[in-house]
Formats: sequence, structure tokens, C-alpha cells
Amino acid sequence: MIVFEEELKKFHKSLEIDDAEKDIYEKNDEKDVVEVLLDVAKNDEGIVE
Amino acid sequence: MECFNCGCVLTELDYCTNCGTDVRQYKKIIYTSNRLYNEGLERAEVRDLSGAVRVLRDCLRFNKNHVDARNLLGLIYYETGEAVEALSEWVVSANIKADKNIAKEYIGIVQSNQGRLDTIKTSIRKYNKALDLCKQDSPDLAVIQLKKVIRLNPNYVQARQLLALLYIQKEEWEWARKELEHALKTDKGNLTTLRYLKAAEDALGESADKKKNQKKKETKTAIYRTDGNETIIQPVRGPEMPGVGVFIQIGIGILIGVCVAYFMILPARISEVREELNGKAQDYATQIDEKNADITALNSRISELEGDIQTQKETINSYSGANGSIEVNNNLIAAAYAYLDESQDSLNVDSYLGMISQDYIDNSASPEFLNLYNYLKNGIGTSASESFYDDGIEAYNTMDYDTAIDKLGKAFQYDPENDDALYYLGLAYLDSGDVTNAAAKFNLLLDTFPDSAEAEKAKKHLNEINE
Repeated sequence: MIVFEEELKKFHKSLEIDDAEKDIYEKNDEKDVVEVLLDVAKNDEGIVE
Repeated sequence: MECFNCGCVLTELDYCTNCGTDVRQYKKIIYTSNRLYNEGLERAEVRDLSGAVRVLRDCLRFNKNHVDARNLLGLIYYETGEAVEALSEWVVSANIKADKNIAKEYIGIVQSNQGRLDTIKTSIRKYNKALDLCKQDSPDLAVIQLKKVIRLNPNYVQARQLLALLYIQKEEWEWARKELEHALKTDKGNLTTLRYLKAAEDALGESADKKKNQKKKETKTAIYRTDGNETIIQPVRGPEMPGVGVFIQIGIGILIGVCVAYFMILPARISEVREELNGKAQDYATQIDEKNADITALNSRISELEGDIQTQKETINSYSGANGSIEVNNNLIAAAYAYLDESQDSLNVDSYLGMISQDYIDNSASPEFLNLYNYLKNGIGTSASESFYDDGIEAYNTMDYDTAIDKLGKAFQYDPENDDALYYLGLAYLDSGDVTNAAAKFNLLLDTFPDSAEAEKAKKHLNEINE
């Protein structure tokens, strides 16, 4: 059963050219698991020292 | 694979052979990331694009520097109509790896085609507008917008899904199915598309069953019943032939269409035309303002030029009028000619010089003019004085005192050493009854020529005046 109002909420606006710059910066700033691992490794070293 | 700590190439060992860092977790992360990329690639190959997007995003969560995953993700976005998302991924990818990166080629291809870029921008803007219209409860206008979007960007999966949803809402199942089948050609694994398609097909199936049942009923052409030994066959009224009713329905349909056009499409079009006209009016207003500014500038220029003309006219008048430079110069030239011409006497020279006003000599004459004027005046001095003296005496003897005063005055003016002229000038004043001027001239004579013969005579006259 398709409920129009509920389905409509799942649609999001597409990215427009004017918003691209902001999106690129956000993607660059995102932290991945590798970076999290590096942070953990650095903290461990600090504790050992 | 390189060590995250020192950048040295890692071996199969669980630690870095260069710096000794434990790389077990790191290796697991990279392997997981690579596995997810491979899965994304496989899904993309069978056109399960939404599945591929999901997996590739996970891949990038593990390792955001996975250039291939980012490039593939961009490619999938581009294929499904999300061109800006695609460009965004490629730019980040090119930023991570500048050399030998296909993302740069992709960006170049998109950017080099300005027409295509404009189409992408327009289609995305219209899609976003359509979504707003849906949320503002204007589904009919949203459908119009989305149809335009799909015409511009046929692979835009989200736009097709939204259009299908609107058709489902209006129970236009066949149209919904058509859109969803198109969407499925681009992205085979999209769950939303599949869900909507199932709903549409279910609805179409039900209506097909209903039609089948209705047809069965309609195929009964007669009702058989027995009345004693007789069997009565009562024909069933068949479907009515298309007639006036059909035309009425078509007419109503057309009327509804016209109403929809009038109430929904026309206002939007009117608004567009009005905006266009407003823009044009603005342009014309700007042009008028510019022209007005030009006219004002030209008017002030005309005023300036008129002022200049007036000044020039005044200058010309000062040269050409009765007391103008030209006239004065002509008189000086005539005086010079008379001076050089032996047939003319010094009185002629004096008459020309007399036409030159004292005001001009005092205020406007150039040094050259003054030089010539003084030269002529001095040149004719003695002879003119004698002539005026003779005329003055003659006038005095005939008791014409006014002429005598004029001539004798000039005689003394041209020759200030002429004491006789000064004496007779005093006498002419005295005899004419002007005692004041007579006394003044006699006093001047006593002061200037105290030892002359006329000085004694003058003294006597002064005594008589004082008595």
C-alpha cells in the first residue's frame, strides 16, 4: 500500500550547482574509519609515553 | 598498500617492516573498503545502481581516499541524473589524486559542453521546484514540471519516481507503470521503483479482473426460461451503440481540459509573460533615463555655447562699433596718412586724432597704438598750434568767443610754450563773461611764464577781476 504523504517525505531535493562548493568541502572534511584508527593510534602512543 | 604511519609498502606481515607499527586493523579496514568497492562495481555492471551507490558510500566511509570508488560513485550519480552530485565526487577525487585520474576527464567532458551543463542545471532546478509544488499540494503543476524535467534528462530516476508517485496518487496506474519501467531501465535494483511498480501492477491486475468479469456478464445475449412446454428466449439488450452520449462525454472531456488549461496553465503562463514585460519595461525605463541624462547634458552644452556666442558678439562689437577698435584704428591710420601727405595740413591730422576718444587712449589702447598716436600728436604740435592760434585770434577779433576759446585752447594744448595763446585764451574767457576760467588761465600764465610780456598784462586783468 502506497501512502502518498509518507512516500513524499522520502524524496529529497537534488544538489544544485550553487550548493556544490559546500558539498565538496563537507566531503573533504568527513572522517573515515582510517582517520579514526589513526586518532586512536596517536592516543595510544600518548598514553604509552 | 602503504603504512599509514610512515608510508612504507606493507608486506603480508601484521606490522610495518620499516617503523614497526601494528597494521592489522588498518589492513582490515582497507580490505573491507576494497571488498565494498568490488561489490559496488559488480552491482553497477548489472545496473543495480542504487545498490551500488549504497555499497560505494560504505566503502568511502571506510576509506574516503578510495579514488576508484569515488569515481564510480560519480559515474553512477551522473547516469541517474544527479549530475551535480557526480561533479562533486569527481572534484574531491581529483583533489585526492591529481595525476592519472579519470575524474579530471569526466569533469572536462561535462564542463566543455555548456549546452549540456545548462540542461542539467535547468532539469535539477525544475525537479526541486516540482518537489516543492507537491508539498504545496499542487500536484497538477508538479506533473507538468516533471514532464519537462524528464524531457530534458530522461535518466533522472528520482524525477520519474516522483512523477509515478503522482500518477499513483491520481490512480493513473498505466502512466505510473510506464514511468517506472523507464526508471527501471536505468536502475534495475531501485527498491522504491520496484515497490511503486508492484503497487501499479497490482492495481492494474485488479482492474483487469474487473473488466474480465464485466465482459463475461455482457456476453450473455439472451435469457432462457421455460413456461410450461415452451421455452422462452428473451434477448438481453446488448451494449448501446455509440451515439449522442459518447459525443457528450467527449465534449465534457474537452471542456474539462480547457478548464484545466485556463485555471492551471494559463495563470503560470500569464505570470511568465508579465515578468517578461516587467523586465522589458525596466529596460526601457533605464534607456529613457539614459536619454534624459544625454538631453540634459546637451542642453547645458547648448547654454554654454550660447554664452560663448554672446561673448564673441560683444567682442566683435567692441572691434566694429563707433568706438570700436577697428574704427579707432582707422582714424589713427587716416591721421598718419594725413600727416605724411604734404597736401594736407596739420589740422586734418588733428581732426582724425580728435575722433579718437580719450577714454580709449586711457583704457584700451595698446602700447603700439599709443606710440604712433603720441608721435603724430608731437609731430603736428607747433604747426597745429600756430594754425589754431591764428584761427583763435581771428575769432576773438570778430568777438566769436566760443570759437576763440576752442581754437586757442587747442593752440596751447599743441604747444605748451605758446604763452600768447594762453593769454588770449584768458582774455576770450574774460570777454565772454567767464571770470573764473579767465582768472585760472591768467594765474597759470603768471606761474608758467612769470617773466613774459603777457605776464604783466595778465596781472593787471587779475587785479581788475579781484576788484
